[in-house]
Amino acid sequence: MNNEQSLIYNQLFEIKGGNFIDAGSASVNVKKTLKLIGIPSEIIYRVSICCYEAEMNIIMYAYRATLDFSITPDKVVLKFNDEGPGIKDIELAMKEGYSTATSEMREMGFGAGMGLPNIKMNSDEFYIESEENKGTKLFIGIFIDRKPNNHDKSGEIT
Amino acid sequence: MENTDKYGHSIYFDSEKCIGDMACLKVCPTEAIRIRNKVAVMLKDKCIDCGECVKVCRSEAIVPLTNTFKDFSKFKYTVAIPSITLYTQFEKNIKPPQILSLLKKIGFDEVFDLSQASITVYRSIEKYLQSSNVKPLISPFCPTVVRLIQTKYPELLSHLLPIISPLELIASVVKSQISKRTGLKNEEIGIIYITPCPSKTILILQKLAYTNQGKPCIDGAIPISEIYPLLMRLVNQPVTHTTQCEHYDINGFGLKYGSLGGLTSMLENDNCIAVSGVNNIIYILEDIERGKLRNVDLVDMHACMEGCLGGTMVVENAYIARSRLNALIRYYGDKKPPIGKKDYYENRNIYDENIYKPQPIKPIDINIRNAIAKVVKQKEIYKQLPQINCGACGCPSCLVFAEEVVQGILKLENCVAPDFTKVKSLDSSPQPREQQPKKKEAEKTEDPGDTPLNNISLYSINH
Repeated sequence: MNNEQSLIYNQLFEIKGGNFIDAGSASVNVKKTLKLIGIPSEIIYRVSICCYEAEMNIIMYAYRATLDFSITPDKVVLKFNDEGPGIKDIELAMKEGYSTATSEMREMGFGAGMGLPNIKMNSDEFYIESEENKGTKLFIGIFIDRKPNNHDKSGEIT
Repeated sequence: MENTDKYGHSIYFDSEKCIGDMACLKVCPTEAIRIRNKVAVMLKDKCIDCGECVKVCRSEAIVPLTNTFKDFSKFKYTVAIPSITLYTQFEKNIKPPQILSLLKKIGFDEVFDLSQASITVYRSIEKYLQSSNVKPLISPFCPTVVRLIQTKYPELLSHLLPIISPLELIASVVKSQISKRTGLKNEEIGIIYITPCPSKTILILQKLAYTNQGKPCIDGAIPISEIYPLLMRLVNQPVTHTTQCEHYDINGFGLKYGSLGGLTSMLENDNCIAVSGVNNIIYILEDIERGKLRNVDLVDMHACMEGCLGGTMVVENAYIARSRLNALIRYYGDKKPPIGKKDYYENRNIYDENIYKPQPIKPIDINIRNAIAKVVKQKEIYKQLPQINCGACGCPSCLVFAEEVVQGILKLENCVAPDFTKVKSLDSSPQPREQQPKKKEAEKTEDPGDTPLNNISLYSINH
């Protein structure tokens, strides 16, 4: 039963911008599946932080997005692809504490400028691509068997 | 109260009495119940002892594992520690000292009041909050909450407040005192909790309640519902009103601990919240896991609605009980006792931080490759199912059924649901199941019968 095709679990989610009521539902479902598979809880913890931060970014800024979630025996991959305003200066957005959140968003406990840095910190692979007025693509990979952090040589998380 | 399995549950399913009517199947918040061979069975790794199934069972087949009076005959000296909830089960003119005195009349050698110990515990919590970096902390006083975190949220175990409950505080102190005073051995002294819910027996079954010397400090739990009739008989005798009751130093401020939100109001900290109801707790735990409650200091969690006042084994309804407790708090004065005042119990209340071990639910397969393959297959099977979660197969939902099929426990033929496609085709927007667009993929359709549109159409067919 272990042919390669059956070793990729894949699920698609749709996320609507501005939908605060359902906020985080994709993350909840992702986590449920990871638990069922028996992924170690520290990995689940990191995946769910990444997934939730990215999902909230979409809900706060983008119009709509898809989340392509897949699991292979080696890693968990989250691919976010949104239609939205895009990020003008990615380098700036990656800085801790930088935020364009409105006071409303801050009131809800977001917009501390920790979103993207937090995702990067908790992931092993992190790629971001953005085009202004078009949208943002985000690739997040987290290794299940805890290989060292690809982008962060200090590797504190792993 | 014999229970030897490692999960040590406080609830027992009696297959002789079960009529298999599925009431329990639907209410279980952790999907821990299946109907197999027409009777309900519990999946021990999933159950968190919340008691929801006990409440809805009509055939008395789901039995809380607690003690009866007979079990205490082995002790030479019995000590009762009643939950604060017991005080609220009687009319307002019957005050706690009288209830405590009556407990002695029905056979306990000594009785302790929890309101003083709650103050000691509250002070320790206040102190701990000031020094802790973990946010938010979670109160560990409801064993069901602890169990839920152990099974489903093991990564949050570090959020549990490492402080023992007032009950455990008293229990850990008095046993050695009594032993010294009476010369009896520790085994001859029985510390009995008068409990509003079965889940407290987990403390005993899982041997969680230990003294610092590693000896069990609580020996039994008897439900309020069992004690109540005995006390009521005495209360109703007019003589008892006139007989002098002993003096107990009840503390109004400490009584607050007995109600939901009581602890947070004692702390006078606006960053503390109180949550009750298993589903609400799951919601909050999800939020904590996502780091959403970083600004909250403490979450006081109780599995029963209205906290312990709404326990499964109480007599009075939770709302009346709350109003009576509020009356008692006013009667005894709700002012915070000055700090200089001596605590009744010495300060020995910090837990061993490692007491709560994770007890994760068994994954679908131990081997990660097999597990992924199985989950892929599960989703495929799920797509073929009617997705109405009727429960006729004995599983709480179609998704769970699909899991059981993958595991080889059930077969696809066990799905006996009628074909609902006909009903669906009467929908205002007819769409055969197979062609439903990606929305279905988006997993929001785990429970498709509940969307407002579907409800409307079904409703109109009925008329």
